[in-house]
Amino acid sequence: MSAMRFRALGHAFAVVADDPALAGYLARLLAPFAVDEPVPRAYTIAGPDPSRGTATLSYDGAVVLADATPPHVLATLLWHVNAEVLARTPDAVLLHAAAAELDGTAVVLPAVSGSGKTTLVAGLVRAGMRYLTDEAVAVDPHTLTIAPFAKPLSIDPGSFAVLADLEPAADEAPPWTAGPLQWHLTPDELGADRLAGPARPGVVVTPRYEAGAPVRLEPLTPGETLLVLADNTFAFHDARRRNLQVLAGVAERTRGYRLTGGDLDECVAAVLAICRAPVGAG
Amino acid sequence: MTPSRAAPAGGDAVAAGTVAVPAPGVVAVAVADEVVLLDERSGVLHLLNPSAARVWAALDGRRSVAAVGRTMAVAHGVDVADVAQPVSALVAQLAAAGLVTLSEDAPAAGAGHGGDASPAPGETGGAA
Repeated sequence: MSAMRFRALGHAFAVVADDPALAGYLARLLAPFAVDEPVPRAYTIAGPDPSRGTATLSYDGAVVLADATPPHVLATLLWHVNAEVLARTPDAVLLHAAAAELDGTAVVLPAVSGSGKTTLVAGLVRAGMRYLTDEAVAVDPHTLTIAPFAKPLSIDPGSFAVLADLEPAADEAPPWTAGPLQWHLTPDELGADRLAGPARPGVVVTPRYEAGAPVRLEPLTPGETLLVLADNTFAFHDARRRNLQVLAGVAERTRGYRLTGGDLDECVAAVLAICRAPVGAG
Repeated sequence: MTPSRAAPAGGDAVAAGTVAVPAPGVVAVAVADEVVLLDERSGVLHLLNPSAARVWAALDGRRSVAAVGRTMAVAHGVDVADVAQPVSALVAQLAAAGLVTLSEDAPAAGAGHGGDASPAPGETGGAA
């Protein structure tokens, strides 16, 4: 049993798992974060218990979740990593947004939970874009570039049908992946060479899934784009003056849109058309 | 916590001699030809369209609302009568939202003499 070490933005951590199958699964799931350097914090996952089938998640020696089902423990681990990433990356402006990159330019998809941004970014990556994140866009306040946070895409059950071709193998790491609360997809499951490097934001699209609705793209002014970005900034008020200045810089350098639609393929086509359009068009 | 946002609303008009100045705790950020105001006391964001942004830039605490109206008229090549009421209404809305403070004691150069039509800081004039 050896520790796997990772760095995701400002969060450097190790994971130690009793179960070799889980260790192998996590090594693949968290591969974009793998590092070969000392890390200050560690998760341990004990179990599953042979008699009860439950497992326990600890973080730096403190129990986070005890005697829970393995899928619940796995989901909690991934949630905890995300939360720590947000807490330990104060130097960046962090947007609650998905993002993907094409030819060095990123499309940023800020939206509240449940708006469909993970599903949309999965569709964009499946269609050829490269993956930056489905959860937190980290903007460098000095260069305005986005640092990748290539966490596994967390697909909710509501999107299983529309992404059915991406359904993970049920027997990859039982019982950890049995009856999953979510699908956890790595970028390489969406296509070859789908990991993006740092990218400059070029387009901002705030998506809203609306069942049965036709695709509608509404241009935003730079000021409206700034408001959308601010509305979707984690802990905006902790550094509000800095955040406002940084977001104004992003808004001035991007084209902003509000996207509404109910068909994933049509939404993907609309966003790709925007990304491929020359600056100044449309 | 994310910021809430609002468009300045409410208020009818202010007297022509009124002088407005940005309220303490209001941070203005220009983005292209618009301005976003952050009221640090409430955390609320306000978006000013390009026309309102130009008026905002002219609210320097010296010029009266009437003088600001004349500035806008000169900058855009329109009659003062066409812009006086919208400028007055906008200042009233900004005041109602707590984004500016008002005083009636306009300095002589800015109130009632009709001579202050120079562009405000940041005012480029012309484009609308």
